[in-house]
Amino acid sequence: MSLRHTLSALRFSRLTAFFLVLQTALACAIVSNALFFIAQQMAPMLAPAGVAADQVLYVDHVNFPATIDPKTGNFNGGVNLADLRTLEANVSHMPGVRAVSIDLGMPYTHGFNAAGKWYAKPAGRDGTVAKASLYMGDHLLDALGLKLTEGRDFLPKEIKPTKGMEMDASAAIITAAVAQRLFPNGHAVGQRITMGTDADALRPVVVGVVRHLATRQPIDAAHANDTVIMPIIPGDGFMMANLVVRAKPGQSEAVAKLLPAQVQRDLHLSEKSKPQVRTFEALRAEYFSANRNMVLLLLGVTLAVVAITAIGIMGLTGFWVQRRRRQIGIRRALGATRGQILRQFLLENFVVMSIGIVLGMLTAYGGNLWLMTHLEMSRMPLIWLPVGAVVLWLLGQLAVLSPAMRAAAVPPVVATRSV
Amino acid sequence: MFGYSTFGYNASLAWRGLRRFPRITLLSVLALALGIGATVTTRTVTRLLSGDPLPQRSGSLYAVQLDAREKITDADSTKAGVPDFLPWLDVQELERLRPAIRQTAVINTDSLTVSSASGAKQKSVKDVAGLQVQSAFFEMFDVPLLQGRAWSFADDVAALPVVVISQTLSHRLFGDVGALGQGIEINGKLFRVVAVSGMWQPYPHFYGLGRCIYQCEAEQVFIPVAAARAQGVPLASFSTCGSRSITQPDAALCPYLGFWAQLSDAPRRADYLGMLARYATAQKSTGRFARGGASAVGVESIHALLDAHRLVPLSVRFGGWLALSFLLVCLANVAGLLLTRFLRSSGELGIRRALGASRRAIFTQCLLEAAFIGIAGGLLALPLVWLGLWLVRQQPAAYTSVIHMDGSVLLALLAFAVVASLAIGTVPAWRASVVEPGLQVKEN
Repeated sequence: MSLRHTLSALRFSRLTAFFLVLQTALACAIVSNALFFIAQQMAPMLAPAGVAADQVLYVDHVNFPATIDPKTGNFNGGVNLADLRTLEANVSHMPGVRAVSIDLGMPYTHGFNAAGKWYAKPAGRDGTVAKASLYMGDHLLDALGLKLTEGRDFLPKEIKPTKGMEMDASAAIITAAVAQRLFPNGHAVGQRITMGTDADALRPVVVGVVRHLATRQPIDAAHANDTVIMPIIPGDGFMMANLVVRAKPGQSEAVAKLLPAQVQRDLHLSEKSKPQVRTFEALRAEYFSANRNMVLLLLGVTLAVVAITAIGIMGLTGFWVQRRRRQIGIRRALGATRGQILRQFLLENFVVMSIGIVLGMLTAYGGNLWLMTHLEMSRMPLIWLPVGAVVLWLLGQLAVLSPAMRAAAVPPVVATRSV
Repeated sequence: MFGYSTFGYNASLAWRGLRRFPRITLLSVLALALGIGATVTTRTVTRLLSGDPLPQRSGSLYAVQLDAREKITDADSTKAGVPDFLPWLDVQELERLRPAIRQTAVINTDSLTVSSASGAKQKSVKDVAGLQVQSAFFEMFDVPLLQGRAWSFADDVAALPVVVISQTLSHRLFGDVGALGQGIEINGKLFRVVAVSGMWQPYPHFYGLGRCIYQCEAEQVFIPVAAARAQGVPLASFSTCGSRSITQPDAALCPYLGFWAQLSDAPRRADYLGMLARYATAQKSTGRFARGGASAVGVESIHALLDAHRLVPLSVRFGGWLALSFLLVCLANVAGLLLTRFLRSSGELGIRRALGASRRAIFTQCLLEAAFIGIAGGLLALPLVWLGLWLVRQQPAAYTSVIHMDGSVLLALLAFAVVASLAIGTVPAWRASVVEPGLQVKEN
């Protein structure tokens, strides 16, 4: 069956073909945009966190009620560093504990919130800027199980407690992603980096590079690992402190049970203020629960679009076959095989769908541009257009199969009857 | 009378037509219901999330923006980058420059311990959220005061330790006696209650300026900014001063306060903006600000603010557009199904025509079929919307608990279903009405 015959057959029922094209174009535009959005929602979930997830426990907000005297600027209450250090030492000797670190800030938490723009040069004029989450702690590399690719961990003498609200650091460990942003030519270790511009700007030297470490609240894949660690721990009077504990493999549950009592004892907390211990995996699952639900919802709608479109194609093609029973009979009587009839309907569907798909790809692109300006969505890479196209082509061929087979089953004798 | 009976006849034919092809009818109804259901569900969610938090005030309330930075290093600092937070010093200056205009600083404060200060029976409530505001706040933000009166601007200037507390908190601290005139301790510092406020919880929580948006704790205490500064009342956790996190404003120059002005018409807005620009220029000439003039200032309406802080989650908005395009697919689908449905019965229609029925009668009959499908689809969409909203509520996202079905939506839904089905039925019905009577009879 040639393309010419197919096209002339289409001209025969223009309105039906029009509706087929319309449905295909709409579905194609929706499917490619929705799949792209789904992929975007999933990207931060799939980005590596760099943490030994199944071993890490997080003691949230070891909260110290603190206030500042407005006149003297001194803290009342807050962290007691000696107690905090005792706690750290005691936890490190607990059975099943591999490493422990005092910390401020942790992936997927809302607690301590620090982030800033880092410059490779103080002036920040050479364009190498990295906006990064800031984590602070003394033994975070061990406690989180981070992979050091270059340089070294912090030295004990580099670890400094905060003084009032001020913090200072001579060293920093950055992720490979930040290193790439700040020093595209390599060799981050040994370089000085700067956050802030005024007199109290931080100017640590990079001493190490870790492969991955997720930001506090990753929202896209490109920036999911922009993180800087500094050897700072909360000093006396600071408003909060957290603890990261890394258990030996398989022992995190046992350690999690023992931790609250230890924290209460060492920090002299009252019976009521029981610290919360959570696994890293639980934190992560909670953080991404909205993304997960959104993905499920969008997948549901996409499937509904596909299903509705399939029903539409079947309905229209089924009607088409029924109307042309006599023609099919005549062609069969003239020697066309069942296979030829089947192929004819598949080809017809392919041609009509292709017109719809081309229109659909244009609509999808235009729709994405519109969404970019109105919803601040990111630009859809063109690779998503053929994805939608392939889905629709396959869908069309599958949907047309049953009506086409019914057409192929029309016996030649129909030609002699008048319906 | 004649017209009615023709209509009735057409209607009965349409009804019979629907029943003759139950599968196609069912599919059409289902597709229409699904499309409408998905659209109404997501529209309900977006409407609630982008709703007007203060309908009486949203036209006249503006967030004031002023770039009080000494140095600007970001190469990309443009008009869009004017900060939302002002230093205390500039708040006071602006209020002095425009005394006739209602203005107030607003900033969150939380984790407060509030106790009744009356001797032995002292009661204490922990973890109270509040706002640090100024005297004009209550009028500007439509806060109902059940007892007493808001403090005055003079009290603001004098940093008097006064406070307005909610009725709920008043009950918890003082029972039926009431808090008016009583002394309370906020984190150990004595304040006098000058008024008790009623229920006030605008939604979304726009004045949180991007910090807490949905499901925020209702504020129970309203403390004058000046008094809070003098008494050392801490700010909400994660307040910032420029790019630093703070719990206390350390100096009068630290930009940490949201600032609002009530500008009821365009001339006032223009005057205020001009004043802001001149103020920024003056500050720049003394070397305090890095930028002056119109590029360093701005006023933003509540709606612009909701948009700028993306207070409606992107996924919700995308979902809204996805559902709308899904509805389009469904409508196109129903149109296609109607076309096949009418053309399949073109034999009968041809006979009807040959027996003398006009094209208009055929057209009416077909359109009535479409309308029946619309009504059925609209009715079926109701439980679907209910189910959809229930599903949304099951999601753990913070905003979901406020979602409920809206009565006005339901009527609109039914009307829309009928109108939409009539609209999409037009082309297929027209196509069916142009069948040639003779040809059809002959062919069959």
